[in-house]
Amino acid sequence: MLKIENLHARIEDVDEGEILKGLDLEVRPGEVHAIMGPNGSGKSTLAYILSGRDGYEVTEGSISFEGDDLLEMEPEERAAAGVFLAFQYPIEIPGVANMYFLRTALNAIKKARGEPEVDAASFMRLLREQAQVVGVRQDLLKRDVNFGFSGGEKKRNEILQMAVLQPRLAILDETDSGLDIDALKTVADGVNRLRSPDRGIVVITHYQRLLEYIVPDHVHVLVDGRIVRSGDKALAQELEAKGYADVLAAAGVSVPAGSLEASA
Amino acid sequence: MPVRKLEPAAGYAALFDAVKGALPGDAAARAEAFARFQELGFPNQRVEAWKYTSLKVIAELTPVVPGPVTVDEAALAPYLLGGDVKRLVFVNGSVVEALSDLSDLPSGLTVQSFAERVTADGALLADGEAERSLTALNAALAQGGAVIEVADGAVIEPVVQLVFVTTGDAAVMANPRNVVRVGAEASLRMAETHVALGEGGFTNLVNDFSVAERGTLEVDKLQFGTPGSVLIGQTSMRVGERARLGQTTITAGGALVRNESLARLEGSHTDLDLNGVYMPVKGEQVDTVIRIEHNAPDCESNQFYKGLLQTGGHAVFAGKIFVDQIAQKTNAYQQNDNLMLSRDAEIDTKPELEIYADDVKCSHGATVGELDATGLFYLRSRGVDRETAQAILSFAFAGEVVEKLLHEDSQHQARRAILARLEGGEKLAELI
Repeated sequence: MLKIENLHARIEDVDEGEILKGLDLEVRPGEVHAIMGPNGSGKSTLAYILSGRDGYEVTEGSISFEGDDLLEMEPEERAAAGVFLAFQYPIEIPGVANMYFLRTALNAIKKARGEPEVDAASFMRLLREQAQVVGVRQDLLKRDVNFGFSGGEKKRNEILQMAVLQPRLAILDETDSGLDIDALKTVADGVNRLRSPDRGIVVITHYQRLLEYIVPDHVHVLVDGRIVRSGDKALAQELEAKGYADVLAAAGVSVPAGSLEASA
Repeated sequence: MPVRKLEPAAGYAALFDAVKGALPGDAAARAEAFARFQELGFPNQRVEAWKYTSLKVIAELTPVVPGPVTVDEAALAPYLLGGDVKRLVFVNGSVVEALSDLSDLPSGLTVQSFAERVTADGALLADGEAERSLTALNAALAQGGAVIEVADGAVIEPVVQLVFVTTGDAAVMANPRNVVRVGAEASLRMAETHVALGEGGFTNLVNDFSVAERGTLEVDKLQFGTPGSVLIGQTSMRVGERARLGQTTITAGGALVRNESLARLEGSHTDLDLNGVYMPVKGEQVDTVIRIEHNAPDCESNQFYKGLLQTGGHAVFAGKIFVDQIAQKTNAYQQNDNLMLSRDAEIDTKPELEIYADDVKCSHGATVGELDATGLFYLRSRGVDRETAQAILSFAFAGEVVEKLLHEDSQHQARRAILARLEGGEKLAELI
């Protein structure tokens, strides 16, 4: 469903060269892929490019989603096509109620797909039910989007949005960062409920911890803008045990000095 | 010395001559006020306070004051407040009894039309703002407006709504004057609603509000003009010891709307809150001119104004905080935030502080910016199209001030008017 070929990208208006330097990735329906890598390897850049954020320039390569050129689509068109990004840093929107935001989003997507919109009462039932499942307190539904939410509440709110919008391809950008173990389990549980034969999931993470709860079919190591090694869930465990440097050295990958320093 | 006035067209004198015999109150005071207006003329743009605002179109008018006209009640219905409300409706400056309701006023509250009251109380025509020509013009011609008095200790439950309607074309002039006096330990909530139903109308408003010690006055001020209507208003506020005055102004429409406020904090521990949202669209201008004088110690004043500027809109904000030497322990805050929704829009904002006391907390801030790009992307990444996302964020920007309106219906009316003017606002109808 998602095919990334030889993707090169840089940040617009910055003379820092490419961040992604020839990335290849294919995600088929039903698969869960984990992308691991040290800080600065290009993980979040990949997430933003997939969701269509301004400020990035693709200099080479292609991304197709369900056979369409994803790079030609506006962010809202990608959402309607079924792409969802759970943000590493969810945005606060003062003045806009969480439940209004979600209903507007759901109905915009339904409308774009030519499906009937959801009335207020059915939506509230759906929202309350899903909020319970992903552990979002009912009072947060009436509050402004993410405004004054704790770090964990923001992440749960992302998973709630995902559960309501039911995307075809979900990309989770460092969803585990800042979560305690209980929150991590709830969030993972929410993601696992969405696993289905026609849905693809890409989990971007620095640590192996989340992958104990969301067990991936494929694990990729992203370093310096390229996927340097791929494997199954055993690769994540190996990274946890040996650290990035050892695993990469064993694979014969030379890494620019300093790019691994921040890894834990 | 450069000329600092625009000569009023001959039509002003002709109008005054035609109506002066029928004006209520002291004829000599009226004539004197008109002579002062003639002498001062309208201010031109060399006058600092009018630097960004031209009154040329107004100066060139041949104004008319039509006799009583009837207005379809249904046309007015969207602007009336529901619930426990006492109401006076003025159309083109004259009271319309059929649309008004002053039955069963609670004890301690008196509401009279200005025309009725000025017959017995000529002093009402005198005004401290002797150098303001528009005030002199108002003093010469004022008929509409209300005199509202709340007796000491009276806490008034019903909301008093004053509705000022203009009909007809640009030459139709009204000069309402309101006098609101809230007694010691008394309280009043009121709404001042301006509606243009015709294509034009020139309203030259003067308000004189005073709140005695420990009294409270709260005002919702709603301005619904049309592309040809002009509303220029000057409100004097005097606030006594431990008294409070709060006002929230929503300006949604009008070729030119100018709200001047002069607030004098005369007793210690007073509390003054002035809030507003303005959103001029193509061809419209909204001015907010504020002067707050801290003339006593331990007072607090807050100004919180937000501007939504769309293509072709122009707004002016000039807010001054003056702190007298005696006014120690003053807390005075001013914030003016402007959202530029188009490159083709203009905001002139000028915060000013003039402080003569040394133990005060005063701050002012003015911001001019675009919509938050990350917020826009967040909404779009969830499937909301760009135009709707912009409308949602713009509406939320204004919402923080709208919710300061006291009456639920005022909030409802404000939201409806803002959405109606906002590009893409029709998609958010359920937010009203």
